[in-house]
Amino acid sequence: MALRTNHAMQSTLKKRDKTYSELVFNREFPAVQDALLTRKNTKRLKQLELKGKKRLLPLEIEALPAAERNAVKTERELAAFDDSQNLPRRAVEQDYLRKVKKSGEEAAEQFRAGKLKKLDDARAAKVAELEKKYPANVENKVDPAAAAQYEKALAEEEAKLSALSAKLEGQRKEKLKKTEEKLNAKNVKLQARFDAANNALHARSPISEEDFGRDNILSVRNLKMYFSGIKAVDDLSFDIKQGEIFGLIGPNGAGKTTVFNCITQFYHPTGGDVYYRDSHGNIVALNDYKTTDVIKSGIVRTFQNIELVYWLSILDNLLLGVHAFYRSTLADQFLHTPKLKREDEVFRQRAISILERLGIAAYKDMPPMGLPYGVLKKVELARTLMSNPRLIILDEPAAGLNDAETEDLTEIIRVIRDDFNCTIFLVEHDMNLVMNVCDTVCAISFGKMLAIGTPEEIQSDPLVQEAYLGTE
Amino acid sequence: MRQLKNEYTELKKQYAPTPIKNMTHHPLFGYVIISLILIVIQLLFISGSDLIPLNVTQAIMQTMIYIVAGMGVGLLLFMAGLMSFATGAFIGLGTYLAALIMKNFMVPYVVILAFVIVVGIVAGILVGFVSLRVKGIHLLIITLALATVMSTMYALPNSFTGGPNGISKVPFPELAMLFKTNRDTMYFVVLAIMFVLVVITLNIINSPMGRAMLAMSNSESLAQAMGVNLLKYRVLAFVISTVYSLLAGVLYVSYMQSSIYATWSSSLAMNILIAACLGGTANPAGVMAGSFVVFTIDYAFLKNLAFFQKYPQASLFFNGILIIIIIAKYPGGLIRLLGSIKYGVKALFAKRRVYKYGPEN
Repeated sequence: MALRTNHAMQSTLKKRDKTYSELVFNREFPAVQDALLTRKNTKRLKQLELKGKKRLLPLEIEALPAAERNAVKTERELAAFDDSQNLPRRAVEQDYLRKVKKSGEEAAEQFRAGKLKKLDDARAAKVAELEKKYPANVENKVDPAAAAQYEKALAEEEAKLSALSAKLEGQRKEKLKKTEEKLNAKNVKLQARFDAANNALHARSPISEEDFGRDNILSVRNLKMYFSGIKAVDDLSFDIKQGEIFGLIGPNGAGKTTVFNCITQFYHPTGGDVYYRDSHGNIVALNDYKTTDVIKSGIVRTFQNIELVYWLSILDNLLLGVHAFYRSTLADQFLHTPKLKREDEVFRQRAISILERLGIAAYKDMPPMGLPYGVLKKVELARTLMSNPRLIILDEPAAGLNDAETEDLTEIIRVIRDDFNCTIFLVEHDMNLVMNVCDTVCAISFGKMLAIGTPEEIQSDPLVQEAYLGTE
Repeated sequence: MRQLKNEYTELKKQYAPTPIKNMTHHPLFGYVIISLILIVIQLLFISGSDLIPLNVTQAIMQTMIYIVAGMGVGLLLFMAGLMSFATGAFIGLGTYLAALIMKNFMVPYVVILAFVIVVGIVAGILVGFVSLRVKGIHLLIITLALATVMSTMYALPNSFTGGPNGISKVPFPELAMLFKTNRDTMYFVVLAIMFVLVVITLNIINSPMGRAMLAMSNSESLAQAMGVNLLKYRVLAFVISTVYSLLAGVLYVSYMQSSIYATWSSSLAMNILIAACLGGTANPAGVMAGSFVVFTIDYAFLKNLAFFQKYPQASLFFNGILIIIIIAKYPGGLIRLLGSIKYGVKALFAKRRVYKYGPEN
């Protein structure tokens, strides 16, 4: 019987999560589409402008007063000629350097002078030819026909540009309006479906709001994890408040990572409960969740060593973080249907904005291989942010970082908490970081709670001092 | 005037249309070029030119069929991190199924392909579940056993596989009941199907499922934390690989008109695996490069030499040496080798330019 109710809950959960990810997608899509259309339209407009400028440039020269026109033409042709002489002149210099080594400076000097004289002569001839072709002392008068032609062409080009601009703008607005109308109509239905599913889940809360605590996001109660006789975590209880940075410390082998693994369901706890307030305000028992479903409830974790896929670019690594929220079916993925492309685009935009916020957007197309360790750590943090999490679990974020990078990380952890509205739960050995950044610290040893409180309280706690430093 | 010119140069730098560059940067550009070359070769052969002898087109034809199977193996090996020796046996299954349908029923070719895909999905799911939680060398042994069982069963006297004599005189398929194919035109059909599968393979690589498979082969805990269902993607990888193998079988029997059990031993699977390894990536480009080296050179050129006619097994020796050299010297495979050759040529030109004109200022 219990199994069956659990199954019903799982299917409601699945339905709700799917509806929710569609809702989020629908909310994000219009902005992304707008940005894409604007980019496309700008490119088209600029290309038309380029085409127009190409046509206008000679016409404008013709429309100048005669003396000025000749001067401009001379200058242009001479510049082109100089460009064509650039490489030969450089070659002469290189030959000169080699000749100096081979047959002495004098011979080389002679050789270079001869070569350069030829080039200079050619240039002088060109200058003379141009002087003849475009004499400077002409009556400085504008050719009215050319001027009229230029004016006409200018007006034409401007008209073309404004016509295309208006057309594209109209198309863009129409398209956006259409999408928005369509999505709004859809969203009403989705919202109703989502509310129904969410309310059904809300009614099944394992414990009451008062019991859980109004400010709390995670509540670990009497957690036990035994590995055939070894008590890795023994009767551990603590609460994490919303929006705080919670640190878990302890000597080596204290069971810190085991606690993480129990929360994210990598291990199924021997006993005890883990209650969590998910993204929609419902209180859920995480022990009912599968490992792969935990991310959908808004909990993401990182690992002690960097776990990035080295064959994918940074951007694709970030897209991995949002894997559970793709709604494209396998068929969509085999055929790359527009549905998948739209989703990819939305997630890509999200990834780029996150990378920009963390200051590593420059690396987005590189593979992680060979990038600095600090950057890779940031990429891992960025990947956790992709799924719009509520609780981020960091397993030793400062491991392997130098002092400057650790300082940077402290800043970023705060940024994540404030800008992305996340609660952060971290395990760390670097006491500087913990004492700097954490609002609450919990110290454990051999799976048992030693003390919990503000960093100052923990620092002065005799039990903690004993666990770290030993007794005298 | 000057302002206009400056604006023009600025615009040109940013927005000048580059149709040729855009075209060459398209992911399918290389595959289109290779397909065009293959089409030209076959057209030359059909027109009776002396340039292309019969065995060359036959070799290319067989290579294309093995590329189809090889792409599945490449996905399995480089994306999901799994290995299978059962490819050859599944190609055999595909040939027998297709022969059975083509001999007894008049159905469109598409129906045969669809039927075989369904069989492939079922077989892939079975293999995926059988090999659940088995990895690396143990998985290889399981698939090797499977391949041996299957190819032994093909050799037993029965009407499905024709027993030790195999099956022969399978009619050429009629496309959409309109267009009767023969050996020459079948080449284009195989090429078209290969091209479609190349596109699908590229799509798989660049989609969430490709990334999920890579994550899974990289680190299972990472994949699980990101919500990747390991079982699903593992079975999916096997299904894709099996479907590709069976499709290769259909293409084989519709071109060769016959199929015999001895072909579908694990040594064929080994050769396909070698081709995929030589390629070095899951990209179809790698599998193609590897397959052309392993199969085309063998079938088209080595078989003509007196030495290799006397000792047909010696070509395996050649493959062995090749794979040792490539794996030892270029673990990235032929694609990496081609890439470094391209890079080397570019560097050579740049060096020559610096020698002649001095460094850029």
